[in-house]
Amino acid sequence: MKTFLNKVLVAYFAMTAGLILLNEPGYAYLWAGQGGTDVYIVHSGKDKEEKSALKKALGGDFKVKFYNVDLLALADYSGKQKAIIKLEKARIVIFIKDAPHELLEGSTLNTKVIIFNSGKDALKSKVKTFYLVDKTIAPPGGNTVRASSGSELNKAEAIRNADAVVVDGALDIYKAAALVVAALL
Amino acid sequence: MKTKNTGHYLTRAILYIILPGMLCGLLAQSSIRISGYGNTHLMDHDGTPNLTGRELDKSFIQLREFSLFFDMAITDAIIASTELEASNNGNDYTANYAYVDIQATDNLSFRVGKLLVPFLSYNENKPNFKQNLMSQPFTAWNLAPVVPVPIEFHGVGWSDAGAMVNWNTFIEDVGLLDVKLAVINGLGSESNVLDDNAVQLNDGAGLPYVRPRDGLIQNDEASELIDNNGNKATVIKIAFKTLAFPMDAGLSWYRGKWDNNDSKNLEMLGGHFNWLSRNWTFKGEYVVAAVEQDAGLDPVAAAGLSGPSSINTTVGNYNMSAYYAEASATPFHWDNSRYLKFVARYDAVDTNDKAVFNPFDRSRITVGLEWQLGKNTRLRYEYQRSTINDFDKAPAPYKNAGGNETIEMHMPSLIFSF
Repeated sequence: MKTFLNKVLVAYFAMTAGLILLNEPGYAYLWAGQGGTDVYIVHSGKDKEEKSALKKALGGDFKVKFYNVDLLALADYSGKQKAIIKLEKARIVIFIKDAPHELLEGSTLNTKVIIFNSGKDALKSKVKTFYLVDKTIAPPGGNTVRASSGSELNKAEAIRNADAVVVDGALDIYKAAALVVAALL
Repeated sequence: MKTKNTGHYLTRAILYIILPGMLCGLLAQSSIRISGYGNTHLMDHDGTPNLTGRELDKSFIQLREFSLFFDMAITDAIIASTELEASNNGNDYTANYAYVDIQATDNLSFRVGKLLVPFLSYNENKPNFKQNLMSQPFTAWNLAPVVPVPIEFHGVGWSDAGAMVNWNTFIEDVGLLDVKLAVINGLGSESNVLDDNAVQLNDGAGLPYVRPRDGLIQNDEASELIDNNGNKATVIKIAFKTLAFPMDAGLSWYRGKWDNNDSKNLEMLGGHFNWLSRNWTFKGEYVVAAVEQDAGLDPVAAAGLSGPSSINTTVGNYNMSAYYAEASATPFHWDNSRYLKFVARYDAVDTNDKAVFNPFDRSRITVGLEWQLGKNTRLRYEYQRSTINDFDKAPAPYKNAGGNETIEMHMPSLIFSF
């Protein structure tokens, strides 16, 4: 066991040094095949319907990954900041409903953030914090667009200039999410 | 044959490869986050015995911990992390953990390096900005091996070098099942008894040494991550988080040889429970440890100390147990970030020392009050009252040195996190 553990550790140290080196800008092309994550969808176990519907709406146009915030309840005390730095590797992070705000409270991300169907403001982005909510939820403020048919969201520039979209009428909120993601990416 | 190579390699690798590597990473790219916490407190005891060179009843102000967390995302699936902690008024610096996480699938990850031992709940959630009280429960520092006697308190958690596999699965509409399996160097002792610590009382006369059974301590070498034998310890933690309630519970198990000759087992089994809601928390842990060791040895002599032992010689194999139950209520909230919280905890440790007297066989009541001034700053006050079991058997030197049946402690503190 001792010899085996030594080998594992030597391999691990070599790998760490190698990964750090390869992550330098001059070697970035080596990671091209890995492909960056476009969207991280952050949800709790209770929000599986929203998670699935968002995944379906975003379709094959984007590389989407999921993160279940319930994992944080069983992680060690560094779990929160590790979750944030993991999510920041995506170009957009979508937080579904209230649970992420409670478990990642006070975090500010260095990537674009979409708050989906929550009016809470415990999560923010240094780049762009965007609210996408249905008519029962009031976003915290800013430039709000009310969308009822989708025509309001057909111009990417209009979305990028907004801080929130409140979906009303016949427009499907998941279809609106796809339009917002496409505009913000 | 006694080997120290693994520990030497690990320690040096952490010091000379991981930390400099992370520093290089910091300079090379921007996917790094720095966060942390710190606290300072006034600690005022009454009823403790005088020790040679230190009177524990004298109050003191201490910078207890100042920690910086460094997390570097190499990709979203590979994250290197470390926590550097200054403790004991900045006189001790420790990397509480330094490891790399590799996420293999959504449900499976690997962690290698110096890691927090996944045993019970408290050890993985030790920082006081995550806890309701400053003082650690007996399960965490008086039994599940974390720190030695208070005079040598360094405030660090239980971490060790090794590797861990973490697997989890979601059970539809029910909750999350999480399993951690770690192989680590394990606990050890160079002497023939595991709890070989000894302190010298100052009773104004004979300066006798006594052995407080102070927990299944990591000896000096083990605390430097250098193992005293070739055996590797195994730790398993199985936890479950419900979806319906803010509740989780779990079982933990540890087994490893602790002696130089790979012949004596230390085995621990424990359980934990947490209910963590906005206005109420309930927490508890129970742990029992079974230690194999030879009978008849004088632990004071075994520790290489001279002078008479006024307590006991070892009785061989023994079991210890400890538990705590804690509740908090937060009835007052302001501005989403300010609150006032009331806390109470009861904990007890059974050293099962079979000695005439053991000052560390005791129970304790702790009550506390916490005021969160702002998003990242808290004022906390706690009062403790410990009661030593079988104090009528306390030897004269212990009483002459000022030791009482009850020990009281007041501790106001200031905590910040960022």
